Amino acid sequence: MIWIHRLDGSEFMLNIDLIENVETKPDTIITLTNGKKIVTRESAEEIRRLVIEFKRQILSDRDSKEKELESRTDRS
Amino acid sequence: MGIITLLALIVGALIVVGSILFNGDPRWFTYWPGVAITVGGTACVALIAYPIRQIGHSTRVFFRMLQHGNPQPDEVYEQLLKVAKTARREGFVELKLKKSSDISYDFLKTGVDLLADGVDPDQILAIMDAKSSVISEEYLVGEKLFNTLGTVAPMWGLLGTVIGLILMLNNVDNPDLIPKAMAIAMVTTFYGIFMAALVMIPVAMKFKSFREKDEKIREMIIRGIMSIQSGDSTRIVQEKLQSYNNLR
Repeated sequence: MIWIHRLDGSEFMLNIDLIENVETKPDTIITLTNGKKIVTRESAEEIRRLVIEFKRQILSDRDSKEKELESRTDRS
Repeated sequence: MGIITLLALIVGALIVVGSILFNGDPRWFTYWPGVAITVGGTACVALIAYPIRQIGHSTRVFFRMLQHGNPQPDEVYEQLLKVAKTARREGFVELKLKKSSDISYDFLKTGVDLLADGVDPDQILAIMDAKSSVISEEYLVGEKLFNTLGTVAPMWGLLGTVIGLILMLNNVDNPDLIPKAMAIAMVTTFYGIFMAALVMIPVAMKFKSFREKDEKIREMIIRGIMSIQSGDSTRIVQEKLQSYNNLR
């Protein structure tokens, strides 16, 4: 989920798994897999960065969780 | 366009008056009590059946229709394409500025506002659909009102005639006067039918045809706005709206 802004400035979280494509028209228009279109203030590049950032966060959490589990089993 | 309507109204009246004068005496067709019954009676029906505000509003709508003429799809089509161009070239937010100078049609202004605010497409559709229904309702009310009047005016004319006949048959002191009295009684029916045929029903039809044309234009606008919102190029928008423009 990433925080993005509609054209009028209102903020909301988008489920990135639903993103089918992002176009610059010149406004950024995200097309979801269900056909809905969302127009955002963030540029396409911004969206990409936000997605990567988000996934990185998840993975780093996973890595730190794994490390924690390993250290616990090692001790036993 | 209001000119043609006015002319047709005058010509219609002249035809009737002409055929009367052709072989007859206009005094045979003048009977003020008859006028009072048909006009007054019909007016009463209007006031009973519809709230007075609605009657006033419908009249204003009618004069507005005469003033503006039939809605022109090609003007709106051109404006929609302009909106599409601006949206694709400069973005939706820029539309806010261009609006007042380029767009003359209120419903289109609404659509452009929604675009410029970045409202969700579902919401845009819902809002424009709702607005469109209300606008159509306005014309429908006018149509119903004048259809009612057109149905009722001949009835009142007949009522007047029947009253006349009853009065006449009861006053048969001088049988030689019967034909004359009957002729006078008939005049009221004439008024009723004349009112309905030249004014009421045609005006109702005008409301209807205006509404239908306007609905098509609003449909085009909704399609156009949704198309622009979804990122379609100006070319695609044009293709989508082409057929509406050819409806002339």
